[in-house]
Amino acid sequence: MPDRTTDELLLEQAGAGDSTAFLQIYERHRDPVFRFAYRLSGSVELAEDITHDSFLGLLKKPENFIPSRASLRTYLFAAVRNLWLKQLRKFGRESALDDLADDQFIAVSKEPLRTLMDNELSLKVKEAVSSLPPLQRETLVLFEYEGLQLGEIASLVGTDIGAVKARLYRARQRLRNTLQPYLNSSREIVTLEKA
Amino acid sequence: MSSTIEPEGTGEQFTSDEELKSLLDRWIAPRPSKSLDQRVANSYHREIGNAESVPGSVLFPQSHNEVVAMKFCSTCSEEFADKFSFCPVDGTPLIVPASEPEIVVHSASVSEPERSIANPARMTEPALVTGPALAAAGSGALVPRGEYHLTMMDDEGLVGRLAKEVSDVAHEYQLTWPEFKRDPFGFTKRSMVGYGQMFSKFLANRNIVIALVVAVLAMVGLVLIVGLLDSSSSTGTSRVGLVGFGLLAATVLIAIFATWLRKNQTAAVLGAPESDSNNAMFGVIAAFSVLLFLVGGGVLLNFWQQKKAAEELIASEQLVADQIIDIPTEQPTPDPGTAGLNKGKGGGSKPKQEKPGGGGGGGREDPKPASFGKTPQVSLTVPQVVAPDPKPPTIKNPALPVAATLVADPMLIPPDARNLQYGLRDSKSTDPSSGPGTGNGMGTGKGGGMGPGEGGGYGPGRGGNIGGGDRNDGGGGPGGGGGGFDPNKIYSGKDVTSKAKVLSKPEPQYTEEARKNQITGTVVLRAVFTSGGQVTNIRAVSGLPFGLTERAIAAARQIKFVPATKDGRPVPMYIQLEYNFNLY
Repeated sequence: MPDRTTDELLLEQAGAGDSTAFLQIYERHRDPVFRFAYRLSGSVELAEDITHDSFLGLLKKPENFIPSRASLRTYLFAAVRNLWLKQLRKFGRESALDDLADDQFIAVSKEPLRTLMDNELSLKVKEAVSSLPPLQRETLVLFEYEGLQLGEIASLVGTDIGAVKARLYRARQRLRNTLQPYLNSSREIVTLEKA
Repeated sequence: MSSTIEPEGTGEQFTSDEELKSLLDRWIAPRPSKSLDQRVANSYHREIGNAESVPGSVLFPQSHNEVVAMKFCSTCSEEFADKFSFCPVDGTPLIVPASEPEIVVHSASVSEPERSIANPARMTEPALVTGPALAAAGSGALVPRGEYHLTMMDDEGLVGRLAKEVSDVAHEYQLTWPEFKRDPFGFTKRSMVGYGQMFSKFLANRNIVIALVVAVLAMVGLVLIVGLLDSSSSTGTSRVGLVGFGLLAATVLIAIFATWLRKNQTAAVLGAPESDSNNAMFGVIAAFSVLLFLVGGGVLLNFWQQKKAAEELIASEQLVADQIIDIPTEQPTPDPGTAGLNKGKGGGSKPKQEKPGGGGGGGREDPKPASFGKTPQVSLTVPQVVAPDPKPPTIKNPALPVAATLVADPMLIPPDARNLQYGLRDSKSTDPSSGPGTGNGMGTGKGGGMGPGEGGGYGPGRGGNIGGGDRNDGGGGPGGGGGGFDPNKIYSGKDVTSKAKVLSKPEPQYTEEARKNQITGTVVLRAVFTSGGQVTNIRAVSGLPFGLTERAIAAARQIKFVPATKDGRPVPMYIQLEYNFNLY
């Protein structure tokens, strides 16, 4: 992480009242943080709120960020994660955070593939990812979308690498099941059957 | 953790799933909106400048703030609590005293009205602020706002205000409860008198009386129109007429309003100043128009929905057509000049068109009415030897069987091959009986014929033959209608007593061509389910290419069914068939 010292330095300057320093930090991390928040929450409005609050948290309690432990981005991701979990608890949308019902897959529509538009596919993927249990979801988003290492994910979500792997494995299994008709290999089978 | 979970790979690098990854990459995250930058920048300033606490968001509610933010009214120079967005005194939008110049991320022109409404604190920030304007805001000047001035004393939600009102009422009742307990009758009486006075004072206003009367009349009118529409729903023409009348009446009403209320009265009725009279009148007219539009739309929608529901019913029941749309025009209307049971417009066997006449009747003095059955063979030349009898012959296997006959023109009464006992075609009784008449025939008349007449013919009339009145051998070919039941009339679904019941219906096969061309859709056929059990007169109402229509017709021909019946007789019936062709 070449930016680590710079991030640290900028944060110090921002704390001292240098707005350009803060803006630099913000612009550097805004997109990944927002993306992560959006992929977790599935809503642009909520993602904006979470992004806003995670940066605000950085300002309010800068002492919580310990540069020797993790990069600023990891810290912000962790903040996003905490805010999102808080939100989940608040609205009680998920009764349990871990995987309780592995068999409840989204009903797969058997529409012919040719009728699918690109944005529909995007929506299907979004639905599939959103239907994952929270812990699997965040692991998958961090690994597949944000490209974090397993170790980073483990420290971010506060667990060991084995658990991260298991969650990722289960998330992938589930997605493979849910998105079965849209996967390349099965697509070939479908076209063969049609011919 | 269950034993089935076997994470692949043990090293730091988890095996990547390229296929799934490429699919997952199809979900593209949107970019954050510019307003987020603005929000974060503002929050940074509040936080660092410490002028004020962070505006509440979903995750950091307002209640967490320790510093009470105050807002400033530029008109009356007073400060108000943060929950107010507008000055309680004069309705001016309140502003937050700015502590230092705003910073702007990227382009500063940010317009986000929704968020402003959602968050009262942010509402005070100018909606459209650019760099120079911010400097002005920093010096505490009021930034010019948009044109509208919304006077809202409190931005509590509707439910909240309602709850407050209800609690106020509850409080009032709590206060009056001891009074009521002390003297229930007196209290009730006083309350009644008080409310009565209030009401009569309210009614004393002439305009209010006018408004009430108009409202009541309008409601009564509306109810009447709806009732009339409902009662006339079976007849299409009168319904259209009624709607037309309603439109006309509404127009007249608007015209009356426009002329009658011109003299500044509209404004008075609506409680507006006199100068606004014209506007008020236009408002009334507009309201009427909207109401009319809504009612008309409702009626049309209702009509359309009914039509659609009927169509859907047909579609849902493929074969047992509950809704046969119309009786086709090719069904001949009976010619009043003829009187036979056969199909045609002629009057009998003679070469020239001539009206037939005559009839017959009989009976065996049975107390029961003559039963239903077929007509025996008829002839004008062969005299009647045996009269028709609904009961089976008493002599089994006679050596010299003689069939029952009637004296009538065979052109008018077709041979009836149905396997039935003899009887009257239009009788409802199935109990074998010759009827109360005399002379060995069937019915209520006299003689060896069938029906209420006299002689060996059929139907009312005298001397044989058919057609009524005195006997006359008609001419001009086969004849039907006029007199009685026509066995060839094809009925529609709503005219029969019991509809045709489909026993088996083979599904049509796809043609190879159609499959190659991916043809899907529906073939709608019109056919007749005859009384004999055949499917005839198949016509395609809407078809599909590549031989699918032909396949549907072929499938329709193979339908097995129990014929429809009317008054106990099997009758032919029109039916609509729908064949859905789908490719999966």
